[in-house]
Amino acid sequence: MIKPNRKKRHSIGYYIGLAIMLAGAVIMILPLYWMVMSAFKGQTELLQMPPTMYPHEFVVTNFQRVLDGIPFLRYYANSLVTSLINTVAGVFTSAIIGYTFAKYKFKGRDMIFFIILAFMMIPYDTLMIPLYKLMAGLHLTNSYFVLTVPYFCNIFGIFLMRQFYLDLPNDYLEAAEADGCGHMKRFLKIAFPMAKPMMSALFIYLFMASYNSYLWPLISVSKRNLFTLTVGIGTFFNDRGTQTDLIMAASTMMIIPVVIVFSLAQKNFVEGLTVGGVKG
Amino acid sequence: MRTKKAKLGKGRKIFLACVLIPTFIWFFIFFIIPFISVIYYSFTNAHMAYSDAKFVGLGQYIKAFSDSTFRIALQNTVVAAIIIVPFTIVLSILLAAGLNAVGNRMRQFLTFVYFLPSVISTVAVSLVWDWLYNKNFGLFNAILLALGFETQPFLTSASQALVCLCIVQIWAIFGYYAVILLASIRGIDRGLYEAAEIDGAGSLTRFFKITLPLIKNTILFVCIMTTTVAFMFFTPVKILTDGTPGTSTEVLLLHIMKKGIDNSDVGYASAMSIILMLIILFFSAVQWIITKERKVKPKHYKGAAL
Repeated sequence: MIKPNRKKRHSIGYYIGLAIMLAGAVIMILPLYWMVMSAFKGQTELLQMPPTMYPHEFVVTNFQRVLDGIPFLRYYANSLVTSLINTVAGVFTSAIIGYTFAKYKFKGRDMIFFIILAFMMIPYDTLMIPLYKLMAGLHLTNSYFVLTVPYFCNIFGIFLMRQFYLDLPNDYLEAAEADGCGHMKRFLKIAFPMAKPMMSALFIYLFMASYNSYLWPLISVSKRNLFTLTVGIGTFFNDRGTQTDLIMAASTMMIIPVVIVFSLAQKNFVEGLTVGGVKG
Repeated sequence: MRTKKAKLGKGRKIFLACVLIPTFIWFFIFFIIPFISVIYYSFTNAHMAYSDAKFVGLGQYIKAFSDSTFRIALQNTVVAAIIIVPFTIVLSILLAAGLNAVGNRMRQFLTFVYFLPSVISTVAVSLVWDWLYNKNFGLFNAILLALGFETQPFLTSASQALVCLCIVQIWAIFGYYAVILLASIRGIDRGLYEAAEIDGAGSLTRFFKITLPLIKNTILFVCIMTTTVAFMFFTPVKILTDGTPGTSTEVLLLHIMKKGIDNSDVGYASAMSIILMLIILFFSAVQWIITKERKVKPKHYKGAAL
């Protein structure tokens, strides 16, 4: 609450706390600063001891050499396109499934929903071995299928959207029904657009989850032209671990879009990624 | 305003079928089959390349506990969790309280900085930490030298590597949990603090008597999340050390992937997956029970109305 008439004087403890937090902020940002600075350094300057705090000579050829050395743009495209598809699909399925569980009564509904929620407790990484065997048995590994379809539903998203639709009054839907709107149309024209604020947060959450996912693409894809950024750069590092200038340039290129979007839309971002947390 | 009995319309059944059948198929393929198979495989000698599997009873579990690498991996994972979980939770609570105390502008700026690592891919983050930890040319050793200390081997030392990896993980996640906690703290009714201030309660008392009890549910959530993250410790380990030096940073998930994917030993990897799953479920349940005992219902809990 803002108290405009009384300017609060801060105690010494406040300033000590603030100083610690600012010092902590420097530590938090340091690795990222170092990544970007190293990406612009030449080989000799990079291996200088003591190191220079910023590149005395800006070298941009590192980036060019990454693009020449590995199909970086291909990895980029793979990551962006699959993440986008997964996110759009994930938001849509969360909304329509959440809506159905909130607004329709059918036999075994609560039981089914409880089972779905129970699956949220199971750490999904422990199911990857049998999932891989299943996909391999169906000859689906090394395809865009494994990079997309497993991400199409998200239990947490379903849970979130169901909560939203439970709180949404039925009046609008009933009015639409009176107008002769069919069930699908009622969802697409009325219920779906109404959930926009919730969906934009969910969109960011799902996009980051997909864009940054590592373990599943790592095991399910071994063809280089299907690599996502995380797997591609990880492999690049294993192949040429000593070429730090290139590794840093590649990492910088990987994080730059995310950092830019994050700077521009910090509020939405924080909302998106804490969308689960606030629920407790 | 609970669900109203939807009228039996013509298209109702079709609509329900259109939604529920694909949902069921998806869950069947991506949750139910893997879940049942991981249990089933753990009692067999299933192999990635062959479709037939022989029942071996508890053989794979016995094998796990007599496998010295598994025991080391389990031990390393527990050590990692003991480091990661308390540090992450304490740091995130302190940071959340700190962020709550400062002005709007400052809070926005600090939130941005502390939150940033959790937005960025752990792979990219791990790569730069590898460079920072570099034995000969890394920034950390340069700082140690400049301060007159001896350089440290960090990731190449069996005694330091695991701690170094835990630091990466803590650095990458605690800002995220702090923001979750901050959202919860900011939902607390300001009036409570004002009343306490009038009663002469100091800021420490207010923190322990008002803030902490009221955000207990969120802390529980953060605890469970962090515990899961710690036991599923994988990405930094895979990128930075891949279990080396020796087996000093071998963790459970890494060992499972090595056995299951690289060695195609699905039966054994499944048994270890089940053990890992049970550990995580056990800790989640324990934390849940501990916090449920004394029920504190937060009032004016932002987001609770969702």
